[in-house]
Amino acid sequence: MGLENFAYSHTIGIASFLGRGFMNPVDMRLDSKGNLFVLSRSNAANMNVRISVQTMESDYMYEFGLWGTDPGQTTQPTAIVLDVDDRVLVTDEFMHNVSIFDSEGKFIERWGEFGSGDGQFNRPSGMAMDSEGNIQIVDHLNARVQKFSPDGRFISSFGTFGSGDGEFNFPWGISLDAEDGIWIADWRNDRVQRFTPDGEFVSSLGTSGSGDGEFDRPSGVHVAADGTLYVADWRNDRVQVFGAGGAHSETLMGDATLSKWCQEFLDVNPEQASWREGAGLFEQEKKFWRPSAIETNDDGLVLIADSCRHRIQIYQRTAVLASV
Amino acid sequence: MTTVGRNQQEVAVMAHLLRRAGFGATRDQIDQYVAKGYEETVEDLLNPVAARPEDQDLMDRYFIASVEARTVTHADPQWSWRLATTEKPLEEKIALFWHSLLAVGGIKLDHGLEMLTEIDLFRRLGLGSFRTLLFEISRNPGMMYWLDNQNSHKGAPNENYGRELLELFSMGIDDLGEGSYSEDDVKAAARAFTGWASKPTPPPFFLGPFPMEFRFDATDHDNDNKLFLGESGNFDGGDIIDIIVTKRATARFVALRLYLFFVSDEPDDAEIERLTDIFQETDGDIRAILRSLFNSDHFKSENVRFRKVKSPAELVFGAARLTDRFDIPDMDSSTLANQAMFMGQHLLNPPGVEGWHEGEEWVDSGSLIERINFAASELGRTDSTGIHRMIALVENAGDGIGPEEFVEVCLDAMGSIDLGSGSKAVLVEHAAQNGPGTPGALDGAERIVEMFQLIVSTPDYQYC
Amino acid sequence: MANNTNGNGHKQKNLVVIQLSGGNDYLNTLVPYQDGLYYDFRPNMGLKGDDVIPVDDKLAFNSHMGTFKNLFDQDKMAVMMGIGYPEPNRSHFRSMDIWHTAEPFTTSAVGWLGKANSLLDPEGKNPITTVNFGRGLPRALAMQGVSVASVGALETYGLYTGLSGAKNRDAMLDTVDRIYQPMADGGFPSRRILETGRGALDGADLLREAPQAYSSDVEYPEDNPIAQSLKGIAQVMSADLGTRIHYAAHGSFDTHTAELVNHALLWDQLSTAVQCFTDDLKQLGKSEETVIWMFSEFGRRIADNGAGTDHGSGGAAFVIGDSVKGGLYGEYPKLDLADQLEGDVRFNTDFRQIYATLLEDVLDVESEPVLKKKFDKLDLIKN
Repeated sequence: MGLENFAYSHTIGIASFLGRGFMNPVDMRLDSKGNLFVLSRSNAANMNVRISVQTMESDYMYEFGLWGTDPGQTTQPTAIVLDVDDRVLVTDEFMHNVSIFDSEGKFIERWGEFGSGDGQFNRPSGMAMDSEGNIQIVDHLNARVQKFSPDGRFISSFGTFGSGDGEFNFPWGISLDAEDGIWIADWRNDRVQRFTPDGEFVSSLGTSGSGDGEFDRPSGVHVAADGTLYVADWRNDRVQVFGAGGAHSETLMGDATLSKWCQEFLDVNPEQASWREGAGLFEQEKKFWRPSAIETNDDGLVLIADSCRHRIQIYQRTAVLASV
Repeated sequence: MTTVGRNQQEVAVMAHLLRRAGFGATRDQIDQYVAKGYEETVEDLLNPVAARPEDQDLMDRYFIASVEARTVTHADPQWSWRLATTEKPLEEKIALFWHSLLAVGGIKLDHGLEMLTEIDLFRRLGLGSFRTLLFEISRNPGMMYWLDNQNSHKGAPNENYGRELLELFSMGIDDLGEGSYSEDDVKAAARAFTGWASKPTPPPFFLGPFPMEFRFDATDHDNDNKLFLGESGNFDGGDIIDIIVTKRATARFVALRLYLFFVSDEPDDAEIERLTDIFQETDGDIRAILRSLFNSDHFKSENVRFRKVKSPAELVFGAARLTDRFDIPDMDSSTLANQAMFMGQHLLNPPGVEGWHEGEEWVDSGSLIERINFAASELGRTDSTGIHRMIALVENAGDGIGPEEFVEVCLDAMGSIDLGSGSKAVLVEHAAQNGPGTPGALDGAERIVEMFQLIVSTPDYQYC
Repeated sequence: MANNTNGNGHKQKNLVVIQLSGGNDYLNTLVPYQDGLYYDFRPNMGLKGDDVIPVDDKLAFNSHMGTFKNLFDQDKMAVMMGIGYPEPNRSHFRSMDIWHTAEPFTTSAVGWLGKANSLLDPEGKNPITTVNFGRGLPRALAMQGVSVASVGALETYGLYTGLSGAKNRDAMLDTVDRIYQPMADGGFPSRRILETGRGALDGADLLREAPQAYSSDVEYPEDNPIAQSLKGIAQVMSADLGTRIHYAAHGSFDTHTAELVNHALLWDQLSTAVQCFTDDLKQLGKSEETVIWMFSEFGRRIADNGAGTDHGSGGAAFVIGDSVKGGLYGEYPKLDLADQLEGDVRFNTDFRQIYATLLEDVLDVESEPVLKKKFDKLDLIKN
């Protein structure tokens, strides 16, 4: 079945413990110049976490935020966001804090601590920035969303544990729409919830399952500038796309081709290439495995962090849906 | 015997059962099981409810690299978490048993995901029919790769799998290296398994690993007649296993290994013969054998209590579970497997096809220091609910108890364990010399924790 | 002990193993800097100009190997070129296992130095015949029944160090000491476990006290992990505890990406560390009796991948010490496509030949029981 509103573009990435390539990328953002910042998470004990920067043409630039607990390091990072000055904010659910770097990766500061009081965290995960530069952070084991000023001052929070409207069960991803409305991937409730900028419940989308509009542990959520809603349907290994009124529009299963870096690897490792040919799992190679985040740009590019295949799959919008 | 005395006996036997069929238990758990009754507890342990663990999604979220575990170290957090938290202890214990008996070494296989798949196979089938288990492990792609059946072809069989199937997985050899089978039987078995292999997968170096799958290649299978253990026919691997499992040598081999793992490091011939009979009567029903084993007077007798040296996994997870601190997967739980590795048992990576040598060989001077330091640090986790409860149990015994009773109460609080008389006497002395009122004495909780830490430092604690 | 002369005319010496974990890039360690093929295959990772220190008109050291160039010039370093084993395996784990067990064709639970330890101390009298710096035992040192002390830092080695609680650590140690007293056979706990514990406690005391006997004005950099490990080894040596095998690891050399930066950093650290260590050995009077063996599980691909190099086979290894006959050994493998092995250099010296040499001429044990067959030794050791 072909794609209706998208064309597959290309893939960036290769499994790599450090430097060029990714290890379980869980989030990513484009900066104002169009460079791609990718957050590799790995397993903390394997120490391959980092933020790496590359162009959309697979030119590797640099990395920072390597494994550790010192200032400037990350341990179990969960999300990344860039502010208007391309400063990089990273949430870490081991250290329960937010680290801030300049666009070159130089550490600036970090704030946040463990706890359940205002401004404290119990495993911060998804993060988004509103039109005024305030930061919304999913504080997931506290089952709430907290809002901070650009300098890290607590402003407000909403949410409580549960499965009713406006309640959360291990929420993960967050996205803000053009009006600063809040969308949350309510991971263990298998749904996406929509809130006003003040945290008033608006609506809920999805139930448990694997059909259209159903979710199995949705991890990432993203509202594009054109109003399209993307949901990383994590344990269903797919990305669902929704249009006006939350109507299911399309499902992406993964179409990856070999990235430039993978091709280079196979070129200098001929026996690995023939090993791959012998296996012949080309269809399987294309598919998402635990996609966890989505990013878009104004040119209609849609980037999907394919976390267990260590790559970013990139699509091009070919049609514009009515806004969700 | 008084009621109190009988109850103490029941508690001690139940604690023994839970150390062997699991990783020990807290004092409250023991009381709950005693209330349920011994035979009912054995049934519960033998019949774990099969279901995908409800917290699998949490494991995957926090340890995303374990979902596609590339290496053993990427897979570790998964099994560590299960071992630290399971409420079906025999399911994990039997997986450990088969992991060491039907051993696949993670390092040669270099595929953490497949190693986890195997552990799952042992959970699913480990308490069932030995025939089914042997059949499924023979169709396990990791095993086929590990023992070179990939390279076994019609007309050019590789004997590795055929040989280890007979020698290490079923019929066994005696002290002189003799088996109740011949070299010709090995060759026939190898021919019967030609064509059994794993599907090729792409190398893991650019997209990570791909799940392994079994493949039978009929065109590469030797379809000629074979003579195996006195029977003749066009046998394939399944037929070979069908023949193997009817042999008394196989029954005795499995009975011996179960005995050594669950009962004592010193084999008891009469009991092993009895278990061998049950194997043959039940067509190799592991659950039936273990039911009889656990319910036997032999197992319950004091003669076999504390007569097995704890494996590193038993020591690590036994001590860690006492703290009852694992609410949600985290870094702490994920690194427990490393502790066992420091003590000489790298889970998911047995050193060879023979698995680990169990018993006293576990303990050398390097590993003993690791064992004591780890266990002492676990017992020092006074902020955990488990240790907190243990301290309260000792405090409840009152301030007025003498050093002897103090040591006994501490041992009871730790899950009704016991020590030999030599070590116990030294600890009583310690309690007396450092008791309340002595210069520099520790106060209540600190004194109790110190005694817990000394108890796990004894040579006696190395046994279960 | 170190002054004994063994049966084959060599003095007994002690072995220091430095494992370069992750696969050290042979071609950027010993650089064929005049070979155009090298630069053809390494458009991005080729070293030239100031990045190399020429040895002769063919070969150069990586410029971050200053110490090693000096040792080489002083004839104290044997450079083993083209070392490897048949049918190379490019998995870190399997290949390291092969080096650790000296078994290219089968898996084994017995490490070559674990076996050597059992020959050096058959009755297991000295639990610190082998000391490993690092947590967890490399399989090279493993053999069930053989005790090896794995030490993070000497000062904190032993029971209850860094334990929360344990306020009366001395009283606890005193009690544990009284528990681990040998007793008659047949009791519970077994005599064997008690004796093992006795050995562990005594060994821990000796190791922890080793730094007190040590004095040296060599300053090993604090932020250089391999330097700190080698300092610990020097401390153990200075205490004369009968330790014959010392083991430390450095890495990771798995330079798939950012190789130029990381490979340089690793060799800088190693250069500094080995400089400190050899200076220290001189002060301690241990230079003659100490032989350093440095190896890696494999070399890397001849061709670079744009950002680094991938797993290969064949490599370089080094034997260092005042008793070593310095120089180049083996042949530098040719880089022509026709001479390559699946994109790698071909090995020309089996690593087990060096093991045989180290076992017999350094540790003074028979090599055949360890290696399962007789390998021709190399004429590497002077005295």
